[in-house]
Amino acid sequence: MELFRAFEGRIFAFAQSRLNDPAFSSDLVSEVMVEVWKKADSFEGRSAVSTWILGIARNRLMDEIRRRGRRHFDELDETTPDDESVDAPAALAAADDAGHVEECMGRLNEAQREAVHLAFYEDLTYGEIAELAGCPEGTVKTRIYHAKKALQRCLQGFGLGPSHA
Amino acid sequence: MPESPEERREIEALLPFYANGSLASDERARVEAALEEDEGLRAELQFLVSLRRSIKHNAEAQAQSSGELGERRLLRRIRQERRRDLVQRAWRPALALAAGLAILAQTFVIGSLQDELHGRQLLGTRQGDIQIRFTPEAQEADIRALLLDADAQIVDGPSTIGLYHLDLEGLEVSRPEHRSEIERVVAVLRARSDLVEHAAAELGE
Repeated sequence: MELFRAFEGRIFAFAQSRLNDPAFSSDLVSEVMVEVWKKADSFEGRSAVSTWILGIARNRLMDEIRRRGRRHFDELDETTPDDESVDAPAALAAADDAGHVEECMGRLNEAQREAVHLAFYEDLTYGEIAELAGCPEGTVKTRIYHAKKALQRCLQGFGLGPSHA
Repeated sequence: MPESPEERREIEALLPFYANGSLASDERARVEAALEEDEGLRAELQFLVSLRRSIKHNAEAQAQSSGELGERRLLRRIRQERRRDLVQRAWRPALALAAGLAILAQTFVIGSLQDELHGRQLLGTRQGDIQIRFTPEAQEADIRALLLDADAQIVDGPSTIGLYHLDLEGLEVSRPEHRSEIERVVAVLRARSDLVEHAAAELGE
């Protein structure tokens, strides 16, 4: 039960960052923990326990995303132009507001949202995120780079006041 | 200041991982050297630190613990998996034998054997330890609370006459030592006459 208590919130938050479906996220927690219990013998310690457990959660999430017929996030376009100038002080002011950040996170594509969640909530290394997402490390850095730019653009609207949001 | 735009971009790509404290020492030193010389990078870092704080706040606000209910739910799932695993293990030798025979036997023999095995497995499936019918006025939330209190779950039903079959957590009617506890739960269920019209243990033959 200690493992459950340690990971319940993390799995839930991870699922929410991808699907924003509390009922599914709640079910996923017990699904994942049952799988952890079943596969505990096969854990070889090649990765951290947390990466292993989040990996199980991610596989389940991907199944659900496929089942719902949503596009696989790797297909999503990440080439949003980043060269627009950003009002940095305005973006910074808004970044302190959790509500604004939540709204802007919701506007990222799934791949970016996942990468940002894993970097800023789970505090994973880029190598761990790449292992979890099954992509090269460079892709993780690029995703977060584009996500940061997109968040700055989104948040600056809030920082400039209601008429710009 | 980073010498080229490419180098600056590399440092920028490392900044989020500097902000979350996960960089290796050599990369951390590289970022720190760049930060000392570049005000723009320091502003970026400030933005990332604020962003991280807000993201943690949001995720932690969402990730409320399901508490005891969540733990009980998980234990129930694990017990179900254990039971399923036991059933599968018990039938594995028989299925292996059937597979061996299949190599030698005629197609119709294989079909019969598989049907027989399947039928026997179905007979082995439990249909619940308690039969119950709820009153027409019973609300779903009250039924749910009642079942959670009793550590019971619906495993079958409703039948055409509104009967459901319940399994009790950790108890099996086939085990004589569990029967008195099952009878006790039945009595508790019957006592809720506002919700339960009929409840009886399925003691079988």
